[in-house]
Amino acid sequence: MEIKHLNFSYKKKEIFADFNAKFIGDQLNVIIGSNGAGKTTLLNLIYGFIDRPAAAMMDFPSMSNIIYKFQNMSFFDELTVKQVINFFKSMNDHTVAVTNAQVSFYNEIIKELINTKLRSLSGGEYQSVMVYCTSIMERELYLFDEPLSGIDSYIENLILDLVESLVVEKKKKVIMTLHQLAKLNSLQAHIVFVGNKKCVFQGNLSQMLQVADTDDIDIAFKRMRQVVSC
Amino acid sequence: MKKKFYALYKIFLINAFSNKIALMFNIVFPVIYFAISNAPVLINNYTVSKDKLISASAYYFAYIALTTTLNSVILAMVEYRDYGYYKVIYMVTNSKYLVLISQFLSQWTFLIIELFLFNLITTLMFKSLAYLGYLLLTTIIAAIVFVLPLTMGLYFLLTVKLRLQTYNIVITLIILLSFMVSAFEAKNEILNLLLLCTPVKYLMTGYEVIMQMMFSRVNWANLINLLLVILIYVLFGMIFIAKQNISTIFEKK
Repeated sequence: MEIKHLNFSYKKKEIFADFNAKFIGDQLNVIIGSNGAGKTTLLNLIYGFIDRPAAAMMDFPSMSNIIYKFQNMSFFDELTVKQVINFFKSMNDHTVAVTNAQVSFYNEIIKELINTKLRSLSGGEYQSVMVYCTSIMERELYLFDEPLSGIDSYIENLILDLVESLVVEKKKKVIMTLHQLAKLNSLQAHIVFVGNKKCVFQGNLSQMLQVADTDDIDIAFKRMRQVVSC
Repeated sequence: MKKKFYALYKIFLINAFSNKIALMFNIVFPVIYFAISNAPVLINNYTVSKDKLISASAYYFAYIALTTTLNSVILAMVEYRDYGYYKVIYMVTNSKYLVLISQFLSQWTFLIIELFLFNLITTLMFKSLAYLGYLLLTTIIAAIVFVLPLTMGLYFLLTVKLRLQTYNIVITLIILLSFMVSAFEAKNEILNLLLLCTPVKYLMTGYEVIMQMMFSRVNWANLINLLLVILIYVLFGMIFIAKQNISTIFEKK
């Protein structure tokens, strides 16, 4: 999956100018960058919520083969968690195998919420349910926008295990955005750094630290923001 | 496909029944008004004929069908769009038409249950339970034939750039104006056809035509005009459906 020479603007505000980036199929792709850098816009373009410029975006699956856990994803508040999960499951054409991480996530987080209505869930619980529901859909590409926002550190790790299991166990393509930089230390991820309307860096964590000439990921992030382009 | 349709139908139905205020607005108000406006009959224990009961119900049928379509279909669709539910539904189903059909059928079910309750209560009130079958048959056939085209015509509200709060005002105005216009009669054919395009007049005439078909002679002029209005609603509805946006119209663009 590759983006070449992408230009995109919201009316007068330019978001991407000659943006180039590659996403790797057999690795977890993590998009990082400052607030307002265009991470969500990039996911919206990949999914097709914003018309995808075909010439600039190559080898991405079609919209029907993508599932996208967007920010503030919400569903009918009167439904229970069980009803929502059953609804998502029934939208798959056939029974889908579950990963070990999905089973753990279900047992540790979802099970105790199963008869609760969505409107009674806390923000973090709601987010967890939506991430879980997205993960049980059978698609070629999974997009997660800030799946860890509003989540406590214990559930953060369970969500990352869940997302990673889609790549490792189910051989799916996954792209996610992330603000919790420290989490990158424990992930085998392909990092795409978005800033200054371009892809500032792409590669793995050790390459990013090397380029930024530091061992500290937060310092690397700070330095990268000042770099102009890949 | 059947499994997906049923899952969608189920969640729309659960959501429709969770809106207790709408249910009250659609059922309790007409029952109270029906009782008040027919108080002499109730107090003096007069016997009501089948024809009188059925024709008196036309007004209430129009009210229940219109408020249900506006509150439980159109307003619900605006809410689903603005709260982001449609984004999720379309993403998991990958079919706009599956969503529209299952939502409409769930609202149809909801409307038929409302009509059943209304007819049951009113026939019990007038001690005319024997006529419940006739009333139900008339209202249900009218609901099946006339509500889908009306819903399609009212889809124009989804293409208007309004905030959710403003929709409530617009919907109240539509209901009010439709009832005001329903009392008008024009001698000019074109004007009559235009009046028939207004929801209440359309539903009441539709109900009357069904009643005539079942119990007496059909007024062919009315029937032809009705078919024309149905055609107009459906054609416009198809254009509005094609234009329908799944994201809130106030989203960053």
